Amino acid sequence: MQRNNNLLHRIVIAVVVLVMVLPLVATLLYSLSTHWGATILPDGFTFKWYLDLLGEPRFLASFGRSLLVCICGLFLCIVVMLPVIFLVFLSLPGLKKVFNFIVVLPFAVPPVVSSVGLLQLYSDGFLPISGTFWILIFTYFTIVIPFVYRSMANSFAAINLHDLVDAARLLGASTPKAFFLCVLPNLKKGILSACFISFSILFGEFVFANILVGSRYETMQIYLYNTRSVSGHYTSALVIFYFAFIFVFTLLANRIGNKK
Amino acid sequence: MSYVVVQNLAKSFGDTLVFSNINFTIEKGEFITLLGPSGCGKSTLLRCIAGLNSVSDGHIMVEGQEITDLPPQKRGIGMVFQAYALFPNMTAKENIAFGLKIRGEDKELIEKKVKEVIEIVELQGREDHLIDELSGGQRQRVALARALVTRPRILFLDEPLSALDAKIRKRLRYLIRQVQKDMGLTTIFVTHDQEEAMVMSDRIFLMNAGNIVQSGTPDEVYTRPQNEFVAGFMGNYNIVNEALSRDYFGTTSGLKTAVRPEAIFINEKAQGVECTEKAVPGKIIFKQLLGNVMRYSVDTKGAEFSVDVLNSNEQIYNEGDEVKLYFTKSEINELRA
Amino acid sequence: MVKKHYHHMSKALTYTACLGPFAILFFLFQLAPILWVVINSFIYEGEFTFDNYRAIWESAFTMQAFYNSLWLSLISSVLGLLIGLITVNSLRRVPGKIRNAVIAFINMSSNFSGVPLAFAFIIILGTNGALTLLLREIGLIDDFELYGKWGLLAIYTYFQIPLSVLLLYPAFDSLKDEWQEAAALLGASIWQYVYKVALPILTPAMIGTFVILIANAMGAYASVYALTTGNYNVITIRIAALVSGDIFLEPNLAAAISVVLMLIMAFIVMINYTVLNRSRYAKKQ
Repeated sequence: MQRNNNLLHRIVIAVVVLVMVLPLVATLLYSLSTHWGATILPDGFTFKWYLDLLGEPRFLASFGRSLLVCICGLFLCIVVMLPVIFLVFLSLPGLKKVFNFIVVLPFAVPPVVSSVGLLQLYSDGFLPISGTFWILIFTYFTIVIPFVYRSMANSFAAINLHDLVDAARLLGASTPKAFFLCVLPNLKKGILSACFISFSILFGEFVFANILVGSRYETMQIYLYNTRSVSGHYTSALVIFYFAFIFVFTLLANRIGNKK
Repeated sequence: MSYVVVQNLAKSFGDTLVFSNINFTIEKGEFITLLGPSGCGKSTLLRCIAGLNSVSDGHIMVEGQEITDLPPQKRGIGMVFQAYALFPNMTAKENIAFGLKIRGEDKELIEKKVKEVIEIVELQGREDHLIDELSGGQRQRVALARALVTRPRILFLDEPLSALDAKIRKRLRYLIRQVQKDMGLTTIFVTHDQEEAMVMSDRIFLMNAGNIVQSGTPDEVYTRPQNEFVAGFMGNYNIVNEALSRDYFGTTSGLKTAVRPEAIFINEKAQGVECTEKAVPGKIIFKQLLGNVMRYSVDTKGAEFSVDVLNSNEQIYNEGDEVKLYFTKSEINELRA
Repeated sequence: MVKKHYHHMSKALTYTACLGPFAILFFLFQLAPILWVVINSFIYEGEFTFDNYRAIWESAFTMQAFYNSLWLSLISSVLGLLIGLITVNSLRRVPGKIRNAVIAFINMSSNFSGVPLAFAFIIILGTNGALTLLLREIGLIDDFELYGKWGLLAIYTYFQIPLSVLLLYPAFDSLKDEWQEAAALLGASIWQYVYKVALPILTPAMIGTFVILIANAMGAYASVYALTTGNYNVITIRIAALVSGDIFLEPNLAAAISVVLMLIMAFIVMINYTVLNRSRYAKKQ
């Protein structure tokens, strides 16, 4: 009876994984096929689409832009959040409640809603950055706040912050010194895993990029959307490239997360 | 026929044999302890009898009825788990009433029975608390009450006291034994704590590596260990090798022997105790105060003996003293290989 | 005295230096846009009014967008939750190696959403997609309209599954096998155990997951936009079209729709709390 049950559970999981993997496999096949018309399986195989992709300056430029904007947004978030979280955990624990609210806000307010306000506020007036690289950096900063806060809060909770800082102070270090020399090195893993998770989220971001900026600063997601009418095979190669890239990042994030 | 009969019971997980050829009987109302180090198979044996694990071979009978292949629901067994296994979504009272409700008993009757058992385990005033609002000791009382209220044919206790601190453990020991006697409940208790086993049991089944290595009353198992494992597990036995046993105690069987520290005397034999002929010379190399007892380590060249002397101020030796050891004759246990 | 004062000053300075940049950026790019939306939803041609809200009510097109969004969100969330429950339940019963591999895979596939996912769906379920052809050959379907509501339901459900599994997994993990054993020894059948113990314990996690799934679906934009090039009428597409479309822009109407959308979300969260509050156990979770 136990064995039968086990088999049933394995079948359930196999079916779910199959369904989840199907679109990916199909896209992979499509990106490797010469032609795939009105048949169930493709006609022949080729690497042509990947070569096309890597030889396309517009793609490479959009990839570079995506990398740049994601890294900048993420970097900004970490630099700004680190001292905040340090202060919250060291001397303002009352603010934790506020942050628990801040962390759920982006889930309660869809990006489309934010972008309505953002578009009006930053199209002209005191900070006319709509349609530029800058608006993306700042909105990406807001997107990753929850993930950065959670990862870092976890690693702050895992170390004995007060004892560490007290010990460093008794040994003669100032608070900033204690932070850089004693606390920061212990947070390396938390920060790294926050980076990887946030990065893959930002890399797949489309709403802000499309509504606030569009083709004026073409990120990879926008480029992907704009190539929809070029060739399905070419687009597929792009999708697979994107997913492989994200795959490596998620893998790294898992590795680092598990090491703890 | 005995109340519980276990015949040739065997269990293996895949290729690993947990135990085989387990045979024993239990009388109605007995308190039996399965004692052994962790990994000896005692918990698995209990779970097999409860029907939580299937058995690979053998038979289990209760009141003459074969229950080997019955589902756990139909065996009439109550169980208290080490980690309580209380339902966190229910209050103490709801946990206790669960088994009665499942049977579809009358509401007023349930209320009455639950109230009774809450008094027995002394939980008055905590009935309406959720499980995570109770302390460890209180939780285990709820678990006990939950197992008792359905009047099981056998009560199983799987290391129920291991997660509790020493003081509460002692109080609950007493409570469990008291309730068990009052209700005349046939009980199987699993523990790795030999002191707990001795205090509570009518009989102890001492297990090692999937075998019941010795069974008997606590006194029998403690004073008459049949092999080196039992001697080592039950107390601070001095194990003496074959050659020295012949030399010191004059044994002729060519077996190792075991002697309890309190069965050895320093310099003077106790009155009315028959000792072995030879006085063994030795030197005190270490002494340790264990409260009511002073424990000396005595080096006799051939072996080192632990000797317990009642801490009475009269007999005090110091490290380095040369002494003579006398051994109570009836306490020389020859160990089966 | 002076020293103490100085100490206070430096403390205030440190706090400002640490919290200031965050507070400014958070206000400018997270709070201010929401405030703008709320305020301007009540303004039409420079005057305070409820006209924007009346316009929503009177526009069959906008109402349809709400209807479509709610329909997609509710059904895809129910499906996502059910599939998640079944998957997680099975995950608990397979060897650890398989379990970890599947969780890692699902974690990864949660990134597979939005535009890339829409294209993958076009490839397999489009008019000449492999799966469409296969299903047609078997005779299961006549025709599958990927660019209509069933196609969207498929893609929504697809991106809900990983989220649902990842959110439910920890809750299932906290179910102890011992509870089932204890229930069995007390005479409960497997169904009685599920109904009286497992489900009540899982309810808070299930409701929480359901709310997040709904929020996720209500806010979804990229997949619909990419799949239908913005032609299917859901509420996010409607809002975006009013602020960045090519025809005529009505940001204040968009703001009013946004406020209604947020109110719907708040309403769903409130239902969640009301249901949870009915049980003392759930309230403590």
